[in-house]
Amino acid sequence: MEVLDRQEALLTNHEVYIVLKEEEDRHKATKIAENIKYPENVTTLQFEALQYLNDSPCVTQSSKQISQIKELLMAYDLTKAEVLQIINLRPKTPVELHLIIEECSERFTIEGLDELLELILSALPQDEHDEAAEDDGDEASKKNGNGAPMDVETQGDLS
Amino acid sequence: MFVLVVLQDTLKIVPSEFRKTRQDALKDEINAKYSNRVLHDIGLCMVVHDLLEIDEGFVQHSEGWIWVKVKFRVIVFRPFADEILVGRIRSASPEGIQVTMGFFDDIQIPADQMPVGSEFNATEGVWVWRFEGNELFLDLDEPIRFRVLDSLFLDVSPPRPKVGGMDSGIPVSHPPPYSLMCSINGDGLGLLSWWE
Repeated sequence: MEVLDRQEALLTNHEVYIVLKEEEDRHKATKIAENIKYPENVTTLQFEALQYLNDSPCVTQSSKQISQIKELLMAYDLTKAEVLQIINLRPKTPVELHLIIEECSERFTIEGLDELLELILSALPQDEHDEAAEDDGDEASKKNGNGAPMDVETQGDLS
Repeated sequence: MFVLVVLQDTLKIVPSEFRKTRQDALKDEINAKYSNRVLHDIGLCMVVHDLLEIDEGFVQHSEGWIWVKVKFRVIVFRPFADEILVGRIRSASPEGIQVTMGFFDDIQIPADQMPVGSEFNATEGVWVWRFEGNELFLDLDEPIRFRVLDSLFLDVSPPRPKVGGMDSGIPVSHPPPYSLMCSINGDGLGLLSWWE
């Protein structure tokens, strides 16, 4: 085993969420088709990681929103790490911005920060409850249509 | 908190897996080998991201499976220094508190990185922050925002077998191969409920 690049790229939580979700769907499909058991380390990690990410802001984000906010944030002089944290943590208060942005009071005015928070609010909508309810509604209607045994299994994930 | 790491490895596909597509079989092998495992100085491997290069594969003389050399990218959990993360309080002791993120548990906040004015309440078994006359408890399982200060990779090779052989039967706790040292001393850090 060789490590060719220790850090080729930084990933947003959303990107990781998408990959994990796709793997989960692929596993579910093969489980039904072939009844194979995946090794414990694989299933444990998948379950725990999805559980963590499901509780984080990344669940209601989309790739479109992320590329949009990356564009908008270019107007501000922020480092890659700061942009990444804004996307992952979705700060709502100036205190959170002070944590994420180094030397915040020197680089930004109070008005500048308020502007930034407004931008984040509009580019990454925060009404998680509304959006989640919408998503659940769509999924529920799809699943009720199928009535396949896998519904019983998946209900547990939608907590 | 997640990075993409490019690895190269030679993996085997056994005949019972031949029914899968080459890609699926390799992804499953990579996940089985790397998922939820710590690579020294790299981090906690989560799941394979994609395959970059796959060679034709060769069958070793007298073996029945195919060895395939693959270049692939894997998603690794490795927060950078000063990154802000959210987790839950797992346990508390006079030395500090332990935080968990579900898939990763070895997050320590030592006593000297607690907010100024906090102390460990031995009767309740939790830390308390005394701030402006208020007593704010750091209860277990509360969501908490923390800053990563440092990460520590330890070489955990298996211990050499003792001469004379028998296990004492007492479980030995091994130091974690990858742990994070963090802080909640600062505005915005600590329980999420404090800053809402």
